[in-house]
Amino acid sequence: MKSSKLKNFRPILWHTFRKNLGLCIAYWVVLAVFPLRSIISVMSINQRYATPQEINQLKYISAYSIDSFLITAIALVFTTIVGLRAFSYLHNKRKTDYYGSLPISRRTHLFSVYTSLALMTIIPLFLSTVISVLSAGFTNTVAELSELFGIQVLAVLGNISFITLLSVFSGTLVDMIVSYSLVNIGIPIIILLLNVLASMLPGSGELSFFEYNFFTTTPYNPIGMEVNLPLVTIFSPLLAPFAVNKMPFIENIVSRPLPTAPHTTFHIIWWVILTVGMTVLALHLIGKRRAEAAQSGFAFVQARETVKTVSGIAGGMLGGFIVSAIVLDTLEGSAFALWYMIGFLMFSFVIHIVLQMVYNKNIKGIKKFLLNWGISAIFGIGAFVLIMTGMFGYVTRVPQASEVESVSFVGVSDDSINQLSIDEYVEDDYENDGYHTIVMTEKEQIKSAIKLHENMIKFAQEQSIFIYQQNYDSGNSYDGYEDLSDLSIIYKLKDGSTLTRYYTANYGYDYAEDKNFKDIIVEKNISNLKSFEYEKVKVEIFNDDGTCYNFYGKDYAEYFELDKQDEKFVDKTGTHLKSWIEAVKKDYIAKGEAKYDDSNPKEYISIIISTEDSVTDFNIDKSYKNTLNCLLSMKDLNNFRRESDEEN
Amino acid sequence: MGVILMIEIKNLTKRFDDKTAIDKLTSTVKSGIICGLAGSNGSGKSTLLRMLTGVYQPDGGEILIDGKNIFDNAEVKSQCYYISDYPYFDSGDTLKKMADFTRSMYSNWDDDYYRKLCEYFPLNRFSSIINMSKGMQRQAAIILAFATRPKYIFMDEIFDGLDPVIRQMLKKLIIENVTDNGMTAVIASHNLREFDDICDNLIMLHNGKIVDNGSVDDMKSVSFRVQIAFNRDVDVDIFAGLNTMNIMQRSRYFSFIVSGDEAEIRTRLSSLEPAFIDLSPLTLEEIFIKEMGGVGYEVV
Repeated sequence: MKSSKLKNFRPILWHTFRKNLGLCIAYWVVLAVFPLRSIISVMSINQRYATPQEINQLKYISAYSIDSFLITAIALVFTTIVGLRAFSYLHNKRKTDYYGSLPISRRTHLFSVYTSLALMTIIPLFLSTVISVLSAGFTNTVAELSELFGIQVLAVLGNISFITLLSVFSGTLVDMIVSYSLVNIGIPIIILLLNVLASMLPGSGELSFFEYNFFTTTPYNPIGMEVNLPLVTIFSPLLAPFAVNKMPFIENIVSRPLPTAPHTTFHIIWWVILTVGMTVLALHLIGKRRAEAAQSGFAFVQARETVKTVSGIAGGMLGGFIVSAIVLDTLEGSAFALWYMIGFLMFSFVIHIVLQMVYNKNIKGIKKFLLNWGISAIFGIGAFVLIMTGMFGYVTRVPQASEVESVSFVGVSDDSINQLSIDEYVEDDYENDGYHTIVMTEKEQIKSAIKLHENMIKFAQEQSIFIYQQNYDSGNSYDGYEDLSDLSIIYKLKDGSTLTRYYTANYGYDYAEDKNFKDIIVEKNISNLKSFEYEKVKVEIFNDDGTCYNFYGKDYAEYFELDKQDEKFVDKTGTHLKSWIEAVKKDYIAKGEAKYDDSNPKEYISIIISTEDSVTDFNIDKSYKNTLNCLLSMKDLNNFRRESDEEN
Repeated sequence: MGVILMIEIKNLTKRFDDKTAIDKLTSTVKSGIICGLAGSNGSGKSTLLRMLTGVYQPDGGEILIDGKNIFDNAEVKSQCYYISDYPYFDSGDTLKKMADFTRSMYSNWDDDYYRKLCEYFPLNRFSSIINMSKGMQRQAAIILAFATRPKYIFMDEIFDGLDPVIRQMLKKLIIENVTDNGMTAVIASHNLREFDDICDNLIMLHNGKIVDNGSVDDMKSVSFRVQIAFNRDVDVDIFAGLNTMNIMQRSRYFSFIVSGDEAEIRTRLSSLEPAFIDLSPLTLEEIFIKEMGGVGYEVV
């Protein structure tokens, strides 16, 4: 028996398809170009008499290079155009009269149009994928293209659900198009600009695009704050598919393969839930929708007011930055806060006026208008104030020593942290190139690290009357602080969580001069010196006059290749090196780091001791008597050289 | 207990923002009749039709067709057909295509009758409807509507744009379906002359409320146009006691509308010893003007 609830589902499905047949054909033709290109590429590969492995590789590249970005974009544009047409029976009075009187329930009608739209978009996508997979020899690309197809289906369904819901909300086609554009663009702008504001906070780091975490670190970028594209596009069905890092398009932009990170899974789950949610809500509301809204106004005014508010916030935030940038040289301090707010209020007012004219076609109801504008202002300026006054203690959060398992300082190479510290390269050099890490696990070191962090926060509090802000003018990021590097402090807490704060060099706190930082470096160097296996080290001694002495532990050659000519500098017995390092230890423990003195550079000697997995780098002066005496005694052995002499 | 075959409108209300388009309207339309829906401009005729066909949802009250609520009820709607004041056709729609779609939507679709209707109304089945004249578009809508063999047909300003021949054909078609198949027709129009020869019942609306509602015969039997002349000078006060309206005097000649029992009126007027008297039933248009005058909507 035919269910009365689904009565006439099929006729409307076909009717919708037939009404859009012309557009469908155009869409199919455009989509067919991609697998066709793939097939031609594969055919040309076979003619080259390449090895089977090469052919497979080329087939893979050929099939996989069908522009996922373009195909997804075309599918989304198609669903948007056809969606606007297909749901226009809700927005045109004559259509509303005709379709509204047909013997089909409102829910069935809506769902039928939805299904028709989904099928006419997805079936060609499926065929295109199948042809691409087959042209590449099936096994080469089946997994990747299936995954891509899954994402495309989700993207298409997400967009259709969004259009369906907006159609139910809207009364006119113009309302629909305006709302669709504003929500797709407005919310990403808000989230992006909130990120920009948050990036101004001391400890938050700088923004970097096309990364996939927010306020966390990744193997690719262990320091800094990254824009989370899935978060930015969380309510933007038109943009969200391009934030999924399985898209070859995105991988091309960041020029490296991307892993399926947990947030990607979350992103996909979120869009599944949102898609289902929007569809269910649309099906629920269509029963309550006032048909007379057609060509009149929003069927659900709450939706209209929400779009207005969101757009007012987005436009206001954009305006805040634009006005501040025009008026101020740098976006900092109370002046920035003032001009940001003025810009916000001006732009959000203009946006509200424009939307009032678009949606309401008049400027009646001044009270309601002002209320709406006020809501935008409260949200927008409220968010600004909350962020810039420390974001719920984000700026001042420092864990207790008892909570901390270890603290890591991560710095960028060739700056102070490199000159002053022991650099412990983590295992994967490819992923961490350019970063130097000090890991502290000793209780006293952790306390010193916390104290240093507290001093940095205190510095921030002394800089501003009511807002926290690090210099945002990245163009002068190292201006005046050339000796400092960016510093990331990463706490690994006992509860398994991680707390990361990232301070740019232009933040201005000279942490290298902080006693706590020096203590940590000395402690760490002493700890390192104690742990050396003498047989496996390379020692480089630099005089300020440019001369350099190298010598090696007897087993060093096992780990590093040595030039034939350097073999004579190997301490074969190990006794000389052992006694020299013991002497360094003795002096270093007694005197600590020697301070470099510009006025008397001859007194300054820089020493680098390298092992397989670490580099110890420190300075000594004439007061390191044990070290110097030992060096002199080693000279008698004649197993080191003056490089500058040899060059001459 | 059998189902009551009729349209029941109970305490129906519809509001658009601050305006009440239909205000607590109650009425019934019996099955198998032709009911006219007349009213002043903006009186709520089209709104009422849209609610009768389930396009609009009432804000209050309900509409029952054969005892069932029509709103969002596909089963009830499959027995009804609505031709709006501007029938909708998309670009590229031909009568053939629309017939195919309508056939798939309505289980009572009658192919033989469709072909017969196509002979009645001379339209090219393969031409784009949107490019046809207003009257031909209406004819297309009429063909599609009647081919579904509806139990209830609702038509808004259906006679607009039709030439006199097609108008008469349409009237014939409506009467045939009502008498032969028990169809009920509800026709909204401001042109009451079209109602005169086909409507059994009439509902008159003004400002969303019913001004008059009943059978056309009953309406015509209580209001009359009187033309009366005297061979002496008389004052207009002579008609005091009669329920008169729109009295027009030219010397000893009077013309006016009077309501009441025909025999009683004749007796009263005869007692005034007129030289000439003519008592004729009002046309629906005159009845309409009279009723509207009663609610303050009159010719100034």
